[in-house]
Amino acid sequence: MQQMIAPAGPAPSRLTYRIQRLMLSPLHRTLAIAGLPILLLLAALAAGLHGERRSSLAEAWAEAWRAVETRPELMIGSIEVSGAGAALEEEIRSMLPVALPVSALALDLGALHGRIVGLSSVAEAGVRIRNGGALEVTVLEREPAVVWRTRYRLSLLDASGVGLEGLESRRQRLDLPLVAGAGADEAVAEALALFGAAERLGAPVAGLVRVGERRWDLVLASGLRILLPERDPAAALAEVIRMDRSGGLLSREVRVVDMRLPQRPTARMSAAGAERLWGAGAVQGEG
Amino acid sequence: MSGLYESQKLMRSMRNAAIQRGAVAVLDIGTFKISCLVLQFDRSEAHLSGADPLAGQAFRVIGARPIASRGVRAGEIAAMRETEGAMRAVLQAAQKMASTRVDHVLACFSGGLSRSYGLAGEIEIGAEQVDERDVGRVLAACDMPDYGAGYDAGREILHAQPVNFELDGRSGLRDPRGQAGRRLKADVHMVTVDAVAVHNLAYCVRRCDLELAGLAPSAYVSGVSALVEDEQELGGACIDIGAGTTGVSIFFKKHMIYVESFGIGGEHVTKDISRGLGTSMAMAERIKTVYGGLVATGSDDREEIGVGGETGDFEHDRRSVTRAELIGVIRPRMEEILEEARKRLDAGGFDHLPSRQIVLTGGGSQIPGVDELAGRILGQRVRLGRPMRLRGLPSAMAGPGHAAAVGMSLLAATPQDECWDFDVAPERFPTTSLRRAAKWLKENW
Repeated sequence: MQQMIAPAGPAPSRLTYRIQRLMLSPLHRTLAIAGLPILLLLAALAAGLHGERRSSLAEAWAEAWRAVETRPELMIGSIEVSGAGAALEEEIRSMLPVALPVSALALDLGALHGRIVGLSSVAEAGVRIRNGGALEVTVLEREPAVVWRTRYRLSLLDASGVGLEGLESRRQRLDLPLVAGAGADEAVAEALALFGAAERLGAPVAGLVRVGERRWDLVLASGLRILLPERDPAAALAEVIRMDRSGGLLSREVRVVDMRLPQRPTARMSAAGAERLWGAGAVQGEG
Repeated sequence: MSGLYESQKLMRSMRNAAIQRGAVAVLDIGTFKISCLVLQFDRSEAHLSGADPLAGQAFRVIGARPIASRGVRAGEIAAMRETEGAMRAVLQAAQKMASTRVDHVLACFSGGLSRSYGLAGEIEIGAEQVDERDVGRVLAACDMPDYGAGYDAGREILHAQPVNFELDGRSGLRDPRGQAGRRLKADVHMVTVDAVAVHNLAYCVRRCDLELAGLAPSAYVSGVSALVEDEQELGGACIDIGAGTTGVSIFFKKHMIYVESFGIGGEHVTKDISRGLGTSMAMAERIKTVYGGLVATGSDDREEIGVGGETGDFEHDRRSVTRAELIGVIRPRMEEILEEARKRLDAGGFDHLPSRQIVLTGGGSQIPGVDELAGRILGQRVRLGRPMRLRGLPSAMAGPGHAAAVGMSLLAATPQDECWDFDVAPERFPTTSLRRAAKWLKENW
């Protein structure tokens, strides 16, 4: 068999031999391959960049950036806002950059989107740059769901309880139900469900009052108050409706129906009713 | 037999350190070529098998490189600088191929005129059972021949291996430890070599920034790689025909019992061709490897071999010889080599072994017809040996010329117990002192 024996060329010198052995040890190899170039690069940067040269470099960089930025393909010439009412559109437009045309690279769409979503009357928003240099803002406005009366002001809330604009008077939005009391905005969904259930009551509802930031009182236009429990108020209301249907509870001289203990409904009569009752000499209470 | 072991013991510990680290280089320093293997020991696999971590081949060859030798004559370093350069070149190439840095090297070499001695020692066993300390004692009790130790005569022990133990007349024990008996005898095979040759080699290795972790005669390691297990057990001889030297090693019961080398080899054949045909050494080497042969055939006279030359003289450069002439040049020298080997085999008592298988390895054994010639000179049972297959060894280096490097690799993985392994009696000190401390605590608390 012919064997491949390399001819004895000039032997490596001790230095090259040692360097090769050094390079074969992982630490030295890493240092030489990665460490040394990085060190040299840093040294070159430190030596080459100081004082004026650094500022001139920065200027050149800024110049180049500006040249790219102001290319016509990247300029935005118009703004379109869709899905917003007139007042909201005005508000959004006032947020957007005034000086058109502006470069797309200078716009921070994420921040813009954040600011538009941050508006109280905006539920969802989309901001994008359309072909042809238009900034398109699509907005989904929040729908007012209830009127919220607190001690100091009247305002509108949407279904998730976010406050919209304030109101001068209740008459402006008679189409919306009224809630009152501190903490009512945190339970708007529950309130809306209760309003829905109260339609079956057959009597005009004045509104819901949040009591102690935990439970609701349903107030009818006649002044009658139904104290609902904290837990499962809809069932309690349904019970009241059932009692009204079967016994005509609400058409009697009752001022307050207390359902706070659902197992033990209590009715409080009006002063006139009680007098009439006591005067008749009969003792009869609603179970 | 005490101070002589120090360096060998040190080498053994270095070998273990190298295997722990995972990579070790094997260097075969020959007259014609120096080859280097880089072995990677696979510790995870060894753990998986659960057996002796080095049993079998728990290593693979990740770098292998032969290179033409320089400055070596008859297996000994004749020109330090040149040999050192060649060693650097081969180590660099092998490390580059392995892309691993090795710090330890196991070397085998054929020079130094190795000489074999059979020693015997006998002691009385104090205790009931033979323990490791007794083995150390009996090895130390071996009668030491005057092999020429010391600075003047300059011989050093290269190899000392207990080959047989006898306990109360029961001979042939492989390992007497733990056995009951009164008189323990040991037979030790010891090999000495020229101290200067070893020191030169060690110096060259040191100059290459490496640590010598083991040293063995190449005839021995060639036998380890080329003899199959039966041959080692029942008696076999390995004749390693190198370029500058030919080594003869005899194996019996899995131990080498005799090794010797003499300074004739394939290079002399090349020189004869060069001289006889009047051509350059390089051309003679080529003619030998391509056309060389030992057995005459009918077509030899018709086969013309261009001798060549670069003198510019057309007549001189266009000479040719017949193959018969070439055989006529090669054959006497090969006969001489084999006759010498025959003498060594006789001296080693090869005739008394139960099986007398002879295996030819080394680059010189690749001349066609050498087995037939050896059969005539040495006896009938001659075969050509090929070294064992190593994982990862390139096939270009799997030929008989690399038997020594392969054998050294095998020896690195599964060393046989040598005397210096026993010489250190196991330290009893820690256990007894612990026991004493426990006793003291018990009594005083």
